[in-house]
Amino acid sequence: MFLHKNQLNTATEIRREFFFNNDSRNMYPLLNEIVSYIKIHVPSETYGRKISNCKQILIELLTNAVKHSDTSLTTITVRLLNNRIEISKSDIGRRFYLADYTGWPPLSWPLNKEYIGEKIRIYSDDISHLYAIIQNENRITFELTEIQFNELNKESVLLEHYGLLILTKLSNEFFYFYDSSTNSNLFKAVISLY
Amino acid sequence: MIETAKHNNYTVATLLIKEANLDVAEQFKTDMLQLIDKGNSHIVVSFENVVYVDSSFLGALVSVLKYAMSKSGDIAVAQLNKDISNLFSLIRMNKVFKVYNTLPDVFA
Repeated sequence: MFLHKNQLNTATEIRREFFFNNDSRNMYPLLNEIVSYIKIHVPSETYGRKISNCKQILIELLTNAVKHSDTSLTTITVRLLNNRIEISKSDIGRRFYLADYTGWPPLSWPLNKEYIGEKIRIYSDDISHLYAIIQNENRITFELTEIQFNELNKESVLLEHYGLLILTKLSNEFFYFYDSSTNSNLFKAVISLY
Repeated sequence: MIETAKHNNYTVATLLIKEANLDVAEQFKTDMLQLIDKGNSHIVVSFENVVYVDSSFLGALVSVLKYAMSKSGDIAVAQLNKDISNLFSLIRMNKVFKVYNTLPDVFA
């Protein structure tokens, strides 16, 4: 099938895996490789802003791998189908955790069934609140609440952790899944092209 | 990491790096805090050489802003590329930092 350069072929699934050794020096070349791959299938003339979002999502997933995964191999999977781009990060390293979190409900994988539906407040400042919502024993989804913000002053409370916030804000859906059968972790960001 | 110059009523701190990421975030913060401690209370950080910013660097930038504000100063950003500008708008960092397309005549 011949497509105009600005058209998107949404009928066929397109999928490719990329491997990252969790060395920050390799982030930029890999980032460029993945973004180039996306641009082959998603015309940047039409979807420039979406591709920019994908790029930032990739930056945050790769940064997350370096900082938090505690393993030496990360797989990034890009999947395009039905007018959406899915970007996944998977590894067999450290499970999702929140540094210094001692709140309720406890974050211990797999999660206890009785906590399904509960919200965990991850970050909170004068601009936004970020929550993890327990969807089932193995899955949490992230939700951002933005607060009216008028003027910055000396008393303003501003957080200094933006990774999960960026991933949540730039995705239409962003979740973490722990697969207890393989002891593996999956973060998935879904970007709708509509 | 940064090159500094006086520019009217403020200091320009030009980032000499392409990748503003977790590898350089701590050093950037240290350098900027030293600059503030030397009396440079109003600083415009120029991103003209920077191709991308990650959350670690953004966290360092906010930390520097909070320190500057505690000393009655301020931090602005300038010359962001399209992707970084898009990020600042989406996560409302453009409400936290003054954002200039080019270096301003006066930082107020």
